[in-house]
Order: sequence, then C-alpha cells, then structure tokens
Amino acid sequence: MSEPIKSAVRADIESTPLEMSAIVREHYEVVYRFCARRVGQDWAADVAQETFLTAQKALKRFRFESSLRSWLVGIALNECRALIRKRKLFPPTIEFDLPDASASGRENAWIDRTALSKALNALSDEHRDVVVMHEIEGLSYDEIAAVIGIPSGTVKSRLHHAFINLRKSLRDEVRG
Amino acid sequence: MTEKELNLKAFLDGELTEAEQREVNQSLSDELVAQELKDFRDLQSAFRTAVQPPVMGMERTMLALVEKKRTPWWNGVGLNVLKVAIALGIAGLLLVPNQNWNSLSQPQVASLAQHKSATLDSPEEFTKSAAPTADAPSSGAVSANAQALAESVLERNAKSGEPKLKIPEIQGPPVDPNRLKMYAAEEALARTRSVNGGGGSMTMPTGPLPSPIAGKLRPFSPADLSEIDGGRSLDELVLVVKSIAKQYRASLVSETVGSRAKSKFFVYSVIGSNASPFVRQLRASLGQFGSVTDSLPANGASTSTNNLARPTTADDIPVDELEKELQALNERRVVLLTEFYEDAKPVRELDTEIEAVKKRIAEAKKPRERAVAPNEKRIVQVTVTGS
Repeated sequence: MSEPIKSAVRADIESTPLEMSAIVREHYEVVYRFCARRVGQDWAADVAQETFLTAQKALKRFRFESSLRSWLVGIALNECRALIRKRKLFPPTIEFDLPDASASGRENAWIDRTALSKALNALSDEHRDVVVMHEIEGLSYDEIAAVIGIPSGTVKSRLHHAFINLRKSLRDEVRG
Repeated sequence: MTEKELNLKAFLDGELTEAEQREVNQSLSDELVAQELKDFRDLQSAFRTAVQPPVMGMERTMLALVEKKRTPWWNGVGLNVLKVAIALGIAGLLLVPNQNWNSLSQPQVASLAQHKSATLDSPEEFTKSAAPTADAPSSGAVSANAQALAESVLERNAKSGEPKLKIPEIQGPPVDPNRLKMYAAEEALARTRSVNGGGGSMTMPTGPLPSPIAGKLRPFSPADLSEIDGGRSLDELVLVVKSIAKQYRASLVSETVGSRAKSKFFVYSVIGSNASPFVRQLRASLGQFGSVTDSLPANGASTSTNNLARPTTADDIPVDELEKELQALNERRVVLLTEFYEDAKPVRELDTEIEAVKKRIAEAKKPRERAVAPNEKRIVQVTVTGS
C-alpha cells in the first residue's frame, strides 16, 4: 500500500472509528471459507470467531501495511495452524462442481474434477496454500505475500510451479 | 525453467509490467508455449468451480464480540482500584487507635446507646446523628429512655470508669451426666441373688435398687483400663496374645523378647480361613499396645501371580485401558466445549460418563484382599509392648 493511500485510510479510520461489527459483516465470509478449507467445516466457525476476537484485541496495532482483509486472513491462518497442530487435523478435500455447458465449461471439460481435487491434495503445503489463496479465495500476489510473509516474487514462482505440477498430473490422468 | 516460463502464470493473472507482457505475447507464437498457456487458463477456470462451503456462525461471532466489549468497568481497572480501597479501609480500621471514651459525658454515652446501630468504634458520629428531631418525643423523655437503654447495654469499668458493652459470661457446653457415668465400674451394676422362702424363691437385688441408668452401662474393657492406668503390663499382653492364638488354633513359630524386656515379638502360623479373624481379634484386643502384621504365605513365597498382575476391574478390564478411555473422554469434552450448543446437555452426559469411568478406576485400584485357600498356611507377626 503506497504512503498516500495508507495515510488516507488511516485518516478515514481515525475519523470514523472502526466498528468491529462492520468489519465482521464485510469479511466474515472470506475468513470463514478460508478457515473451512484448512480445518474443515466443523472447526471453521470456532476459528473464524477466534480470528475476529483476536482482531478486536489487536486492532489498535494494525499498521496499515496491508489490506484489512489480508491482515484478517493472516490471523486466521495462524489460528488454523495452531488448531491443526493441537488437533492433528488434515486439510479437507476441496470439491469442484461438474463442468457446465457454457463455453468455458466446454473448454475445461478435459479436466476431471475428482482428479483435480486429488492433484491439489498431492501438492506440497506451500504450493497448495498459494493456489487455494489465489485461485479459490481470490487474494492478489501482494496479499498472499503479506499473509504468508514471503516476497511477492516467491508467490509468483510457487504459483507457476504448482500449476505445472497440476497440469502434469491432470494430463497423465487423461492419458490414462 | 526460463524466466519467460515463470512469467506465463503471472501473465494470465495480469501481474506483469507492460514490457514483460509484450515479451510473453511475442513468445506465444511458439505452439508449446501457447498450449501451456491454454492449459493454465483451463485450470484457472476449473478452479472457479470449487464448491463454496456454506457460511455459518456469523451471529455467534457478533455476539461473542459484543460480550467481550461489554465488560463492566469494575471488572477491569475499577476492580483493582476497589480492591485497594477495601484493603486500605480495613488497614485503617485496624491501625487507627480507639477514641478516648473517658472524655464522653454520661448523656453522650446515653445518646450513643440510643442510636440503633451504635458501635464502640465511632461514638462521635452517632452522638451527632442521635440529635433529637422535630417530630421526635420531648428531649426529657428521650433522655430518660436513653439513660435506661444505655445502662442496659453499657457498663463502666470498675477501675477506669471506661464504658464498655455488657457481655454475658461465656459458659461451657452443658455436661451430660450419663456421659460421665459411661465409665462406671462394672461392680456398680446392680446384681441379683435368689432368695428362697415361703415355699418359693424370688430374685432380689444385692446392691442398691436399680437406677434409671441401669442397663445402659457397659462393663470395663481392657481399653478402659489402659485409659485409666496409662499402660498395660507385658505379661498381661502376652496372655492376651496367647489366649487368642489358642482360640484360633494358631501355632507359635517363634517368640522373641525385645530390648529392655518391655516388648515381645511372636510369629504365628495359622490356616487361611482363620487368618483374618485372628488378625482382627488381635488388633482389637491389643489396641495401641501391639502391632499385627498380616500375612505372608507360610511357604515363604512373598509374592504370587495375583500380586504381580496389573490391577483390573471386577470384570477383568485392565485399569490402563480404562485410563485411556478416560483420556479420550476428556479430549472429547474439550471438543464439545468449543462447540456451540443451546444447552450443555452433551457435555453433561459426557460428564456422567467420565464420572462413571473414574469410579471404576478408583474401585479397581483399591487394594483387594487376596483370596486365600482355606487350608493355606499364613504367617502372622505380633509385637506387643507393655509397661
């Protein structure tokens, strides 16, 4: 975030104090789904709640160096990791809808959805994380970099390698 | 992998600079690169079909945030301030010396006594508050009443003249005479004798006529004697041990005299069926003057397979299995507690289950008396110490 934007956001926030309920309304869905894809539906609500409670306590320390969304997702990632360690959880399988009859659906019809799910699970944690964050949760490279705490170039590289691995797995599947 | 290949995904995502984009555009004339780009695009669109999990728990989160915010003022810094204030108040009450009561005049004392909540610590305050009001009775009547009341609740120290509250003398609990007579000698009991005469016989008391407490008395026991004379002779104790041993057919294995000839050590061998009653009888009869150690098998084996076995429940479930079960239940409880329930019914049900398992573990861990074969010989060691 550039300095003028940062200061504008800061001024805006300082003039109208951040209402936590407004933040929850705006970002709950993203945070909940982010958690559900890492710890499963059974735990997602708990972790999302913990995320917002932590955020409420730490809101004064938010340094405006990233977007509020990536800051919240970062907290959620930590909460998820803590729970995964504590409960020895495994990330749930991500499911995909069957290809539709639309043009884009016909284009990617060669991709078997079960195989895609399996290929995604077979990726390393690092690659899987960036793919899910970018392709499914819609975070930008910079946001992913802020959440995971790596340079943006590394995000780019990881995504590219993850896509090459996915493509290879799926092509192998098609060839039988 | 070349830099161009690395940029292919970023090209699709629009994360390249204009110069980098131009470069990738030029490389797309290569059929393989174009195919790769197409596959990447297909993959991207396939990812958009990911099933979105239904969102739940937003209201609950809102409520949790509101609850956190609604912490009362006294629950934070205020509570600490309140604690300090109370502590200072108590310290002040303890440290500030008492007022000089001698300086108070009789009417002042009277008005103090008149005040319903008068205390000895703050007489002046109550002197002020006891001032007569407009709708109060006349000052003379008040003064007379107050005087009477003051005399009833206050008295003056005979030497210093200092007023103090009248406190009735503290008396001990009433003594039950029957309780004192519990230890009356057996001789005090009325005895009867048979008197013949007049063609028949009748039973007459020899001593005094039966008292109302007759029949409630019990005869002296050796324990009572020991309470009275403070000890029992070694000879007496040896006799007790030997008579009990004879009664239970215990055979003497060894008899040793202890240091300064004040104690004796016996080893008896007794059959299994008699062992427990023999030991119980010895313990009851010797009381503090002897110790009885039960009971190794007479064949010398100090352990048996039963002793070595892991503790089990009555239905032979090993305790460590139960402990594992308990651990799993406790873990499930933690999980349940983190979930959102309208009522805590599942947790309560689990608690009942946990209590039941705990009880079973405690039961299994209790030392159980080893089953003894009726004819198995057991060793009983007795030590007596007399005066």
